[in-house]
Amino acid sequence: MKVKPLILASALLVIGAVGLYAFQATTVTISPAMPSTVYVNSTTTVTITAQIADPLVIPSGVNLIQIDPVTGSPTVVGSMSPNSQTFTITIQPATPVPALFSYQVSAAFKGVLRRSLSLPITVAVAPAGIILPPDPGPAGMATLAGIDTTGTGVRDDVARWIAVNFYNSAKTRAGATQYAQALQALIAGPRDAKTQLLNVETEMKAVDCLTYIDYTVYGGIVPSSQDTYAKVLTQQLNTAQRAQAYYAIDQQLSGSFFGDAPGGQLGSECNFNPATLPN
Amino acid sequence: MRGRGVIMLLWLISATRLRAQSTGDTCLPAPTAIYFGNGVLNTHAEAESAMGKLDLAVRAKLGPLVGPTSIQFCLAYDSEYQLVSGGLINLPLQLLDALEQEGVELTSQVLSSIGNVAFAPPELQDIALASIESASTVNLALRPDLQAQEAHYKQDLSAGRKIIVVAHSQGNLYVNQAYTDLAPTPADFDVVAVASPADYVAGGGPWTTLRNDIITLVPGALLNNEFNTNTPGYCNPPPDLTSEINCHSFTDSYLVGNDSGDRILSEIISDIPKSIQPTWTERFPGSSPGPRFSSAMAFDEAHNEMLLFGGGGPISNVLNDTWIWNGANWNQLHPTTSPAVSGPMAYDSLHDRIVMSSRVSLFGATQTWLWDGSTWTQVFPATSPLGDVYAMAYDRARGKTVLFGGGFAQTWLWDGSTWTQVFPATSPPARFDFAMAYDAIHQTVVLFGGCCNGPDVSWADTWLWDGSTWTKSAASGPPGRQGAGIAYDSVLQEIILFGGSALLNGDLLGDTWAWNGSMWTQLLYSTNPAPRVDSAMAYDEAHQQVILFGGQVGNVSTPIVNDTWVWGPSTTN
Repeated sequence: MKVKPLILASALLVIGAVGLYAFQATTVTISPAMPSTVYVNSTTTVTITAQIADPLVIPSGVNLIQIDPVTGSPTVVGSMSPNSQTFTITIQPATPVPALFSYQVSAAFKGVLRRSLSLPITVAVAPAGIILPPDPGPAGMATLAGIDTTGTGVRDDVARWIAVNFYNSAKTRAGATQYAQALQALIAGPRDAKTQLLNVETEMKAVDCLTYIDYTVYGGIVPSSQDTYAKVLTQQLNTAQRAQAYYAIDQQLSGSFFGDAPGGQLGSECNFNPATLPN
Repeated sequence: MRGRGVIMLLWLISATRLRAQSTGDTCLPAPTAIYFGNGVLNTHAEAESAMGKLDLAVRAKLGPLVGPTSIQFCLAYDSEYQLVSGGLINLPLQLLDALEQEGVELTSQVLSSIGNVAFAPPELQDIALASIESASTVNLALRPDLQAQEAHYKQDLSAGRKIIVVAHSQGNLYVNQAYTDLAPTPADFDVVAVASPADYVAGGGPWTTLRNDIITLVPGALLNNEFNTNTPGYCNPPPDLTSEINCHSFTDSYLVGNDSGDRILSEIISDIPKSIQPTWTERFPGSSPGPRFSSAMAFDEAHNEMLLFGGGGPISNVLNDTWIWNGANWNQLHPTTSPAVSGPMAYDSLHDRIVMSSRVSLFGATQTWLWDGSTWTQVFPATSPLGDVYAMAYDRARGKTVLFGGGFAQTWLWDGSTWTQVFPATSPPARFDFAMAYDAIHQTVVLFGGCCNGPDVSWADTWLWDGSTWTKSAASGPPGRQGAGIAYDSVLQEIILFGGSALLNGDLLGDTWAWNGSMWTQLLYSTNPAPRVDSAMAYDEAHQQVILFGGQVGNVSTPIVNDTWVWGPSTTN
């Protein structure tokens, strides 16, 4: 079949246009919220601080914005109070159900058309009694491996996301954790071919496990947009470096064969027994 | 035009990139291998998930007709696409590189779109479209991936396995080429084409293409032949590009679509050989035990043969002869000593003995006998269950033979040397002539039915023993009965139940049911053993068949029979 040169050219022109909205290097340094975890129905006050050294910053033009987790669209939470190079705001993120809020600081500068954005931080509204690792903030995005203070093989930011998003399903939490561990080992682990392949096989088992759990929890075939493995993957690949690492491995897998569980027992690929978990 | 230049440069670079391939293979052999050949725009995780969903859907539609290990799914993964120029690209990687070069802010939303273009912003979808169309013009002859797939198929064919390839999108180009190169016997290799960009299906197989799938833009592609009504937002006509791309999705559009999904699953199932789907077949051995009912039968794993002992004869005589089934004939053995009467028996794999609890008198102590492959030996434990109406099954997970004494609802365990009565928190109500077998995959002893839940009313309940207590299953199942045959099929991984009597001295049954650990399903066949009660039934591990022998088929003429039936895939029958 033939290439459609006109369509191809149109597509490439579009990507050229996307480039006009190029991201501007940030001069806004945000710190993890204090505290970064509160509990449902609590009225805990959270303090968010940013450092802006650029003297051209407009003090009244520094805002805290909240990012919608699905659409990515921002909502202004409020204006941050200046104190020299430090900008502060306090919030009370109260919800009746667990949630993970993502915030960035948006700052205006004299003579600069576009506002600058900080990297994101999160505040978790956790189920009562659940202890989460602290939000690593921008430091958690600085390296391929990120930060894992708990030593569980799951990055702190991903562990927080799993605990909050799947608070009502122990099976899904366990499956998502298995997959996150597999991805972390794959992305940040050794790159020799043998280890990498073993890590991919572990990842595929985790995908099978989550496919089974989604099927049982959902009661049928889950739409791709609701696949738990895909949601975890999105959280895991939250920087260009991490995405690059994953897709480079993916490229090398072309020509591989991957079986599913013996007899189609996908649940047996879980490293726990789904039947013993309550929900 | 800056973007175009960057993309073209990146693609040229990729054309000269050396592949440091670390390919793997975790596919398990099975009589029927079902391959999933993924299309473009899939990561390995996405392709694995799609295959898993296909597996679940096929098995759900198949029900218990095919043993779980009779078919095995395998992903033939392909993540690189060949361009007209001869270069190979990995689309997500190239999109990521291009976006970085262009300085596009790589938010988590943008990054997630790279791996799932169906949900991507329009500009990414445009690039994806261009890639689909350029990648569809392929020269696969020298591709290592194609060679790997051909080698895999060749290995299966050499081993006598049936191959079914469910190919999505570009996967069709690979399987078409592989089929041409291998020239298999058509009956051994079937292709189920989904959303194919090609203009034919290898072997003349069926295809499914949805109206308004973006793949229909490919010149010469197979014509669309399906349209779903349960996937709104998918497959809208142009210029709805998002809908056209969504339409191409294997799982969200094709597999769950009310028309396309049924078509694809039916095509796969029709390609699965009927020979691996179990049926009842009567055997006519040259020698056979005489007519009888309530014989004891168990498979001797240590000696790989089926053992049958005793039973009740047609003139009310008590039999105590010993026979073995070798897959074709019954052969009588003549041990020096034998139990006087039969009773339930089970193979104790921990001690490599068949244990039989011989009921010498009603309500008297039972005798315990062991079979070692050639000799019956009576052992004398300190305590024994009473000669009640009871059944037995070996609990392999816990290494104990479980005996449930129906009249007094007692539970006893045999550990190889001692009988111990246990007192679980709950027990089935007292009963007799019930069926009991061990469900190895779920590690439970399953008890079904028996007599009587009131005057002339048989039990229709299912109870599960987990090593410590009995739990009544909420599942409904076969009509109430007594004297049913029961056996665990270790290949099918289900318990099979046959026949029995619906009422005391009443209607005889000839139905077949399967228990999968949570529910009963009736299996319907055109050929069945005659309705009967108190037949002997056990699973022959050596030949992978359920064996049914004898029983009582009526009250007037030839009420007691000695026919032999096997239930299993016709390849084993």
